[in-house]
Amino acid sequence: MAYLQLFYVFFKVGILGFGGGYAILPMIYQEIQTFGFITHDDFSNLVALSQVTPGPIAINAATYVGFKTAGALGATVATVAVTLPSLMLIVIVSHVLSKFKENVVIQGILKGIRPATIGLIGSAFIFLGQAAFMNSASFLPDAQLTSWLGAIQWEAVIIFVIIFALMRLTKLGAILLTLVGALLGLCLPALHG
Amino acid sequence: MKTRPSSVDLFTTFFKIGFFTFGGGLAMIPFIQAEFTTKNKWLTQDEMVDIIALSQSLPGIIAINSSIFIGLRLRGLPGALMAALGTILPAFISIIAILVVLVNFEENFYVQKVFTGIKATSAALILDTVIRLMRSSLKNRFAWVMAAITFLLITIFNVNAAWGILIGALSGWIWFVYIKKI
Repeated sequence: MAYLQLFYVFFKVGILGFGGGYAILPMIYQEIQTFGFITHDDFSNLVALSQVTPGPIAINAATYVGFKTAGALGATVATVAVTLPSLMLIVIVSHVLSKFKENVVIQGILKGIRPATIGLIGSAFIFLGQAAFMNSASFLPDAQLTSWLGAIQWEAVIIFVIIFALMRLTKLGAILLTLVGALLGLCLPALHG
Repeated sequence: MKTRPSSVDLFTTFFKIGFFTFGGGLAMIPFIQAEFTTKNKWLTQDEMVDIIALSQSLPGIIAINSSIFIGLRLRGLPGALMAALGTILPAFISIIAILVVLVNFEENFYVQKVFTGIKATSAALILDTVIRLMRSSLKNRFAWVMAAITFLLITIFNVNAAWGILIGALSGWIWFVYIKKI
């Protein structure tokens, strides 16, 4: 039955989806091939869609594949399936941690992962920045500096600077800033090389 | 003085956050910081960073992990469920809306322009978060070195984020337990 297959596939995705967002797309593609849930074209659509829809990519994928395969109920089954592993695991880990939080080893580990995470968030800035400022062609290994510079979407850089300035100079919150950024994106012309 | 949100608060806050987060889990962080540590003092910066670290290192979708962790910490299991629901619904509703009504949404010229702006904003928000966290949470030489090493490993050496956190965990253990008694 399609619902059971959807549940199985997306439960797996929910557990094995390491490394965040785009890294899980290949895995989803393989699973879909095995069960034939959606076509290759549909999958390309999904990749494009996940860039412009809110929320985690795994949820977008689960809802999309579930809906195309088995309607609204399919979408629900897939989405619940992808969420369950997190729910179960975190409840257990949280409980264990609170019991052992005075433990010296746990404290040492936490003091280590805290700065590591800040480094991780720093790397997220680099990746998000690349996605925001550049066309994907510039990621090719033989791209030269001139083509690299030419691939920069300057209107994105301008919006970045404006938003950053607004952040420092005003009390506008993250949500309002996003709306301003969206508006700027709409109004500014493309300024590519 | 820290206060606690209700389960409904958790739902609405994560729904808001979920609605404005495009492009995956880590982009959520500035919004979590804004709503949970700056606007409302429901979590400290350190608590937030710890939760993100654990959410990244455990299996599962980082955005869901984070919301469940936060919900669990603030309001137990009901909180966790409401937080997860808030995170999932915007994505769920948008996809279904696009599949049923707004077909070819992603190819629309104006939509693409809007998203150029949103992606640029997301980069700015994350940079701001990084700067703030560097100021508030990197308090000693170990922390600075650890942050720098993890950053380099992930960006230049393409190490998977989960490994980066694991190295941090091991380093912290060895450093603070064996080398430098806390």
